[in-house]
Amino acid sequence: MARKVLALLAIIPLLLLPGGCWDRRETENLLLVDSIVFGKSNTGETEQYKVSFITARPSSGGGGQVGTGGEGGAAQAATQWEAISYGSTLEEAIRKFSLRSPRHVYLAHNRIIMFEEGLAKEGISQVVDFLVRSRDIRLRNYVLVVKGHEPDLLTSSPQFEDTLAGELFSILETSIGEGDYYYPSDLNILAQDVLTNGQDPWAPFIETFSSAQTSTRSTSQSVIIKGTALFKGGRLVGYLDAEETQRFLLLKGLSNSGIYDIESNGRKLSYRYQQAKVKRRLTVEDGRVNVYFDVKLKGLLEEIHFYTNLSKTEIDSLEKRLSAKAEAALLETVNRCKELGSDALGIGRLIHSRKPEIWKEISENWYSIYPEIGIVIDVKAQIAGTALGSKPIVPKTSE
Amino acid sequence: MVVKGARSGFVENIRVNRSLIRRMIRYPGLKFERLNLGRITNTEVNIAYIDGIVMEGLVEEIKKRIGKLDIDGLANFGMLQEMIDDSTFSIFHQSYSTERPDRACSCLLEGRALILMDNFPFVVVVPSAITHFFQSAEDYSSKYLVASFERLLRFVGLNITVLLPGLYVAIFSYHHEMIPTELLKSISQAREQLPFPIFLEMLILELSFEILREAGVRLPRPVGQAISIVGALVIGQAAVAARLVSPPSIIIVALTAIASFTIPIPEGSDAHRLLRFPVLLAAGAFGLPGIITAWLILLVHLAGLRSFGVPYLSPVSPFSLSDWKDFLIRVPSSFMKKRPIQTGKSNIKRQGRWKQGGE
Repeated sequence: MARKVLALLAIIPLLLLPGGCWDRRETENLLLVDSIVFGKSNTGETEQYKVSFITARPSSGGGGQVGTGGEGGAAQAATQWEAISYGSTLEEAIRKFSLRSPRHVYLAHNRIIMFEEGLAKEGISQVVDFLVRSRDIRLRNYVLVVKGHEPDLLTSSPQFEDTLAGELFSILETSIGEGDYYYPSDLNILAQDVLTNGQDPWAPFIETFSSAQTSTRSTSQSVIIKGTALFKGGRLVGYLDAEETQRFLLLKGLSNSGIYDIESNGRKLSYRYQQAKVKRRLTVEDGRVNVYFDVKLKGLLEEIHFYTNLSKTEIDSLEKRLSAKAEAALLETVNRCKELGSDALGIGRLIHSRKPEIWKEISENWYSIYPEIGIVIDVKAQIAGTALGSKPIVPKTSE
Repeated sequence: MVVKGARSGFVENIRVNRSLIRRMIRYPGLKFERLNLGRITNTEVNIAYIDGIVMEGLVEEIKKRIGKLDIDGLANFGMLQEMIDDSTFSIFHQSYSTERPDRACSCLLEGRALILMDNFPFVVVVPSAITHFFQSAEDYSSKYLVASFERLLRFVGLNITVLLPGLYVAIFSYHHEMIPTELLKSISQAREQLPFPIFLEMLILELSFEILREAGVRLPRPVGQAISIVGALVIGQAAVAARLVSPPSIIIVALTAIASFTIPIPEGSDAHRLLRFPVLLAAGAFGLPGIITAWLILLVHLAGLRSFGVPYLSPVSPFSLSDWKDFLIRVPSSFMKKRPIQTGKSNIKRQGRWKQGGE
């Protein structure tokens, strides 16, 4: 008995050794990739994928009081590491990265996926398919399109955070709602849009800019979110700027704040809506499909530079003019989408869900029908009041 | 020790101890049965119980178990505790000892019995259950909300004691995707260029904490303080500065050590302090599945454990709602109208019908 127990006591720990530990990895041996940029290489004879990794370089100063240097602006460039890897398939490109990565490439903490313009124009469907089925990549990854050349992106430096990816992530994560000039779309939304009939993908796009434009102190190059990139099928077809994006997101129901300005008495008034309701309707008149967007806005006058007591009639007329202005702006955005041929608004999807029998007929050549679809936009802007704490400090008799 | 409550304690003289209990329970049903134990030492052992309340058959069972012992003498009451346990090889004592007459008397009122032994200032309470890991005498002198909060804290403390080092090792060496990105980055930076893998580091630190604790117990109080300062502060600080261990690991070990002291009875805290090592090993070898398996084995063992026929996990399993009133939370005293169902079956009613409040 005692011998058996002793034997068991010896065997059990020995059994633990071969069984365990096979995928144990120390945290300090991981290369935590922050951001991946997908592109196509244009140098070689054969088409190759180009995958760039942006990672934070580990600084030994993390362990409390041990690290001395490394603080201050000079070290900023050293905290980021960008590396490019090529391969005829995506998997090959990612695996080949281990040839030069001093640590185990770990993608589960990746936060941003970027598509270079060149690749996006050729089509992102295959890459999206790869990413969605990849075990490590999370669907919560933010998605961005990079306008311009990728080398520009990799040489730009963050202005505020430690790494470029960190900076982009912070912009995407925190700034939403303050004007709604972009929507932080993620891989989940993108993949669904790629897969859904009558719905084209879209994603925010970034562009590099020289910081001399926004800051006088440094002349380095950084990145900025410029608007929304529109796809047709899986191919990039064009861009919406920030203002157009605001209208686009309003129509998609993803944003509920924005600004319109209007003139009154020769001065500008700024109207900011903070509640928006969009109702989408569909009518069919002798085979012709009309789509209606009924938009209701509610907001405040935030900026008035002249002295006035807004009367009921004045407000009524302002509301009417604002509605008309918003209508025109929204219609312009819709027409821009139509011009590019991208159904990122999901008009096809709307028809598919409301009138499946009609969708069956037109889905075959949807992209030729799409620009012909009648889209009517009806805006009712409501002014709830002014957001001014006090009357504007302007002399009554100024002019 | 309690902040608010009786300061009296049992002494080495069994006659004094008897009178301490008798002073608290002035009831003719309180009985002491006298036995002698040890062929050579002839130590006086008393079994105390309240007739009419005590669990049926308990006294006979105790007498039977003590009567079976054939030994020359007992060096400690812990030996007696161990010898009358249902399951010898379990890591848990199936009885518990107290030196507080008020605690002992409240156990008597719950239908339990006490074993007093001459020359030892402790009495042994049988049967014991998992509830005793969370109950402290002070719970009944503070308001029920405060007491409930403290009991929940002890429950959290117990779980931290057993699981935290294991979880830390498992998550940081196997399941990196579970960690928030920022936390992973800061920890992996702190671990940059450290010599030991995280499992070995934790094992070394936990063992050195145990050594420190053991050394501190042996020493007189003024010297003990010096040891803990040199040990904990100086060595800890120097180990981090020398880049032998990472600061997060020290935090985990310290937190575990502090949490282990939230369990009020030594029988509970000793067992759980020891249990964290198997959990740590399982975590180091298998990650979270290892911890889950270890935890399951522990639960299965606890579920099978009995103390004088009473399931150790009661009132969790077998479930008894009325006993939960005095388990992880403590309801107001006027709501505790029944004795624990397992031990107080023979006389379940503790309070009559009455209503709290003015006329």
